Formats: sequence, C-alpha cells, structure tokens
Amino acid sequence: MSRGLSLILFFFLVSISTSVGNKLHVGQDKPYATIHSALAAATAGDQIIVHSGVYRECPVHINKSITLTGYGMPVLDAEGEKEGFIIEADSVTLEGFEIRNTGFSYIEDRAGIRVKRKHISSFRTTDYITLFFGIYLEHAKSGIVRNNALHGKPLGEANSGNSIHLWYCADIDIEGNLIRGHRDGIYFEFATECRIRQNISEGNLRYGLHFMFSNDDIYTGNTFRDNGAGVAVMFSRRIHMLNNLFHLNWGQAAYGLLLKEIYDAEIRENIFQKNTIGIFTEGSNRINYVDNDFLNNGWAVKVAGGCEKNKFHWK
Amino acid sequence: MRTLILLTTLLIGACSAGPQPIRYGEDACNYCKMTIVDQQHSAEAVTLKGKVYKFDAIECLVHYVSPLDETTFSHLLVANYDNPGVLIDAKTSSYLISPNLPSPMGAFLNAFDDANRSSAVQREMSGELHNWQSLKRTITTRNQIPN
Repeated sequence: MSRGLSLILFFFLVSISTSVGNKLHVGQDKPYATIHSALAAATAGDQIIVHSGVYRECPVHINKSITLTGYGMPVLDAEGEKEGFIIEADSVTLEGFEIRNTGFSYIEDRAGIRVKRKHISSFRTTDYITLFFGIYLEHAKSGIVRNNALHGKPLGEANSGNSIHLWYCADIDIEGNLIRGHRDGIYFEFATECRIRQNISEGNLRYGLHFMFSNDDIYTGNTFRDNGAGVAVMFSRRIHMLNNLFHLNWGQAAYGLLLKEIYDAEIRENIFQKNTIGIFTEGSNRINYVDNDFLNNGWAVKVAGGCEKNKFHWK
Repeated sequence: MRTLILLTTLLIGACSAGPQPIRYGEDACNYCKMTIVDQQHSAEAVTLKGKVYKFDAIECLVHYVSPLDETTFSHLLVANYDNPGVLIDAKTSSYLISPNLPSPMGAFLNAFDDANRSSAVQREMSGELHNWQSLKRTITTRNQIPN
C-alpha cells in the first residue's frame, strides 16, 4: 500500500516538472516579435529565447521568475535615454545579450541591467556592452554576475558611472567579468558576504574595486591594472584579500591598494607590481599582511597615522 | 626700494588667492583620500592664508572643519546639487539628508542654494532638512561604520 502511494506521488512530481518550462521564441518570423509580448505571455519557469537582431523596447521590466536567453547575441538598444533590463522578480536568469546606449543622466543612475529585489536565488548575466552604469544591484540578495564584458565609454571623466554597482546587497558572486573604462570597476556600498573572483578590472578612472561601509567580503584571484588606484577599501570590516595582482597603478594619487578606516582585514599572497605606492594605509587596525610580493613599486608600503596592531609576516 | 614694493605687491597677490576649481578625476579628497569625481557632492575650504582644501563629499568637509575654528577660513563651499560642478557658500546653503539621495561617503547629504528648492525635493524624496549649524551637529555625532 505504501509502495503504491509513493508511486503515485512520483508521477505527480514528474507531471508537475514537465508542465513548466515552456520555450517562447522572440525574433523576426518567430511567434513573438518583441521581448515585451513574450514576457506578457510567459509564466514562472519559462524560458524566453531571443534571437539575433536589434530590439528597441527599453526599459524591459522582468517581473516573473523566468530565464531570458539571447541566441546569436541580440542587441538591446536603450537609445541613449533609458535603462536596459530591470529585474524585479526572484530567480531570474539573463544571458547572452548586448546592451547599448543606456546614456547619461545626473538625475538617475541609468544601468544596463538593474536588479531590485530582495531574494534573487539565481541571477546570472553574460556578455554585454553598455555605457554609464553597467549592472546596478540594489537590495539584491543571493545572485551571480558572471562572464560579462563591460565596456564603459568615459563621457568626460567625472560623468562616467560604475561598472558593477552594489547597494545594500548580500551574498552576491561576481566572477570572471572583464571591466574597462568606468568610474569604479566594481563598487560596493553596504554590501556584505559577497565574493569577487577572477575578474579583470582595468583602465577605470578611479578604482578597480571600491568598498564603502561593506563588511565580511572576500576578493581573490583578480587583476587590477592601470586604474586611478587598484583597490580602495574604506570604512569596512573583515575584508579578505587573497591572490590578487595589483599592476601599473601609476600616478600622483595612485596606489595599488588604498586602506582607510578598516578593521580586522587579511591581505595574503597578493602581488604588487609597478605601482607608485603598493599599499597606502591610514587609520586601519588589526590588519594581517601575509606573504605578499612587492616588485618595482615606488614605495612598497606607506603607513600613515592611526594604524594600530597591524602584523607583517613573511614565511 | 622698488624691489621692496614689487615684493610686497607679489606677497599681497599671493595672500588674496581665493577658491580653486576642482580637477575632477585628478584631485584627491583632503579628508578621505578618494579621488574626487562627483560634481554634485564635492566641497572646498579655503583658509585666510589662501590654502585650499578639496573634498569629494560634503560630509568630508563637515568632518574636516567641525573640530577647527571656522573663522580661520575665508571660504567654505559645497556643490550645488541642482547645478553640478558649481560651488556655493556652505553657510547659507540648505541641506537635505534623504535615504533616496546617496552621497559619496554614505551620509546621503545634498546641498541646495535655496531653502524652497530643498523643501520641494524633500517632499518628493523624503528626508530631513538642515542648515549649516544643525548639519555639523548631525554629521559629527553619527557613527560612520556599520558593525
């Protein structure tokens, strides 16, 4: 009897799992001509496949738990005055798009992709180009930003935005992105328990990576090259910095790594090469510097006022 | 004698130096060391002797100036939120701290040249209004780093 019951339950599960996950095709000669029309027809669990072409229907609000996949790198054109995708649902996957022309505004931060949702259990993006702000995550939790190419176009230097911008976020993975030509490559403000791995951040106006008021984050295996300064960690606690390369951050106010008012950090097995100042630290306490390599810098480390209980180890 | 007059003229000329334009993307904040990039939130202080201090955020100016004697400054200037890149008098500006208007150093602090305008933005964005004196009290008593 109990075996019969479990069999029936098994069938129910199978029938449920096959009933979701329809594929909706968007493009010329496809059932849906626009992304909006496919989104309106989709239900949670569906996949919308967008075929190559240029789509001018920004902003695209994604308010259902769906997967949006670009085939042949379709282009979403924001026509210089709108945002690209705005994700407002849990469990959204977005991949394979090129986003263009998000434009610049003093009033609002226009992003290629904006995520505003408290629990994104799976949020992925891939491969795209944009202007001004790239990916803007506000109040997002548990997401992945992976394998994106983000090319900013500095519009008069002070006016460029950040490439990947986190504001009040937690548990976000940022992996394998190539980031060029923004204000800050990756910007964290009130972002906790996030992991930043294997990214290349170069040629940014200000910092390759910037922490403000962000605690318990880790960054590892990244390259920061030719930025105003490589990485700035400010007003933050318990940041772990492992196996990164800080390279060619050269100029009047340029540092490989700038530490200001931080506490209980670990800086281990990084390489600092050809920076005006490898590490500049001020007002930073209880920092462990372990097995870092300093090659051809103007200064390896400059320690300014208010630094207590820091340890430098070399094994 | 002629040399002396010339020298005196030169020295007086050097003393009367006023505010300097901020080179965005190049100048660093005197208080927090960050490169100044945000034209809506920058600030500047000039001493009576003509020394210029530049800041990336108004909150950095407030932190810098609050423990000092304000009468030793000839100019205290803040960026006008409505007119990016233009600096206005800090003592007569109206300030809005709004959770919906972030500023570079986490104080959510913005300056307007006119109290009617800051009230109008407050109605739209919510937040609290301040003058220069109440702003200094508010900013310096808040904890900067979350635990």
